[in-house]
Amino acid sequence: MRASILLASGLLTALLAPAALAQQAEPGSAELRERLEAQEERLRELENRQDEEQALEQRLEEQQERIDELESSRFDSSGSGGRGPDVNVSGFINTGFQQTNLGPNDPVYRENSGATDAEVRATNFTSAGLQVDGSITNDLSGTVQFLAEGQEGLDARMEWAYLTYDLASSVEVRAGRIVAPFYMNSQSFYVGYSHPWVEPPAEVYDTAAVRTFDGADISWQFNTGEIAHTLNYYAGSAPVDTLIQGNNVIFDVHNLHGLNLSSTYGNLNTWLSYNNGDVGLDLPSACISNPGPRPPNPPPAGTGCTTVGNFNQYSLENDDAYFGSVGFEYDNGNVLFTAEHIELDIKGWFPKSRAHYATLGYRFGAWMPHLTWANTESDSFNEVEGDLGAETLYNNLKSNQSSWTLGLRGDVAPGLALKAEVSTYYDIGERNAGLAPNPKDSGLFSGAIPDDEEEPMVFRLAANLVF
Amino acid sequence: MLRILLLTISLTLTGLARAEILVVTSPELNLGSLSSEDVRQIFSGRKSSVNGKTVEPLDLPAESSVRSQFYQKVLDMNESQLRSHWVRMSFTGKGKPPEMLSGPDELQARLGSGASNGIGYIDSEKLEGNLDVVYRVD
Repeated sequence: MRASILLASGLLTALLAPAALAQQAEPGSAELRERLEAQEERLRELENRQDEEQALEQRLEEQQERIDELESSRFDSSGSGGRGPDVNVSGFINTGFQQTNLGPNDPVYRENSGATDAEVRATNFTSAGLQVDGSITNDLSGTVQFLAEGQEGLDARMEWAYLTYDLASSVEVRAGRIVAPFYMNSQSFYVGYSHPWVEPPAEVYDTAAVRTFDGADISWQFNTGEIAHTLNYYAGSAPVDTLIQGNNVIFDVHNLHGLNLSSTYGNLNTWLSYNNGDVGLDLPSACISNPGPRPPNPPPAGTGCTTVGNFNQYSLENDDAYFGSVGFEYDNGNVLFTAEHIELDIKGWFPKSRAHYATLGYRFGAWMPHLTWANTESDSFNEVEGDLGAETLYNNLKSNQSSWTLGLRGDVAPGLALKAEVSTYYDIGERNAGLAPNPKDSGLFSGAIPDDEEEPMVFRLAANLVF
Repeated sequence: MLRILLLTISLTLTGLARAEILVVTSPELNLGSLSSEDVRQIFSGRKSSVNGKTVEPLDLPAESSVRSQFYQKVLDMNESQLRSHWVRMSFTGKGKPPEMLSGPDELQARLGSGASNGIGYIDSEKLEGNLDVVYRVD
């Protein structure tokens, strides 16, 4: 009953409400019209604003698109897509000291390449290089490297200067002054930071001191299964300075050409190199003294010498020369093992040389102790025996020694390595050699022949920086 | 309570296990999948084309932890060994280190912007959008 009364009153209120509203509106219809107009105006304003907002949004979207476009084109231009001028400058600085345990009147270690004796010399390992690489077009780039060496009074010379052209994605051609790829580490020889030693083992790396040649090369990257290879062929010519009997002489190597293959699989790299050239060598006019207590050869007529003959008879002219090397490197991040074997053979009186080294290192964080054994031998005396002039020249250039080097490399800061080494030398001088005509040589020492009992030692300290 | 804790731990561990490093390219490059040796050789500068396509490796910044994990796992090299490697490569004219980008966003912008021959690596959790995963670093 109560519910029906409530329902009825609700219905009544609903029926009467419009009438009540009409009664309220009736007195101000003009005011209502005004309010209506005001509302309409506001609506129009809002509509305008909405249009403006939409236009703004649209413009914003357009701007965003343009930004995206610009960004992507910027990324493309810095990549290989459309390279603009792109110049990269990098450099290295090596500085080091070397000292022997030998006295001032004793043999000197490696006189030719920055002498060292008991006196500390800072210039031996001091060198600095600056390399500029620049892209000229997508496929063409240029590289120039300047090198200054302490033993040359830090006078800068242009070590490399070549143009590189990408013939295809995996084939490139270079022309100019290029590093001679004789050894596994030829190309990084001066960049101390890139290898564990203060300098690559001298027994091997002093054998043929050809560092660069003038010419051209072509490199092809290819794969056999999972193994990546780079095959390189080069041709050119190179002058090589060396000392014979204290005289600076220049080997002129022309028709120099060679083929080398570097292969990589996992942590393993291998290196094979075969090089051939014609060697010319103008020896100065000087009479050869009799090297041994033997009756001298009758000197050829016209040499101006009365006993043995004249050095200039032994000048080389287009004599065939061969240099080969085999290298191996394993580096799993902790263990480093690297080894290399080289051979040099120049037709005639020049000593045939074989040399090799093996290095084992282990990294403990930033520090890597390493041990290197190295050996060089030249034992082709039998090929010159009996020719006193050839014997003299052979004896001047032969080199026999073995060494152990214990070293430590520390990567103390980004781009900076500190190194310390101690080397001991033994088996100095050719085996089976002794008295004239084939006296013992002094290995890479000069002056007196170090006695094994003297235990000649060399200590080195170096800092290598790259930037 | 213990069950919730265990569930949280297991979800976190699953999340950690899922965060892997992916080697990615533009889908338009259509490179196909790569072997670990391919990735190693591309990022050490010893290979510039793979599966018949020229590729250009792209790097994350030196301070990136994904970068150090990537090189440790793929090349067995820490930052100083990597630097030594590139010094050797660049001073011998054999190659230049990969172009360094500002981070994963730039990598994705680059690879996502059409015909790029770039190849990069990215934390799987940072991967957005449509890039081809060509290798997963274990």
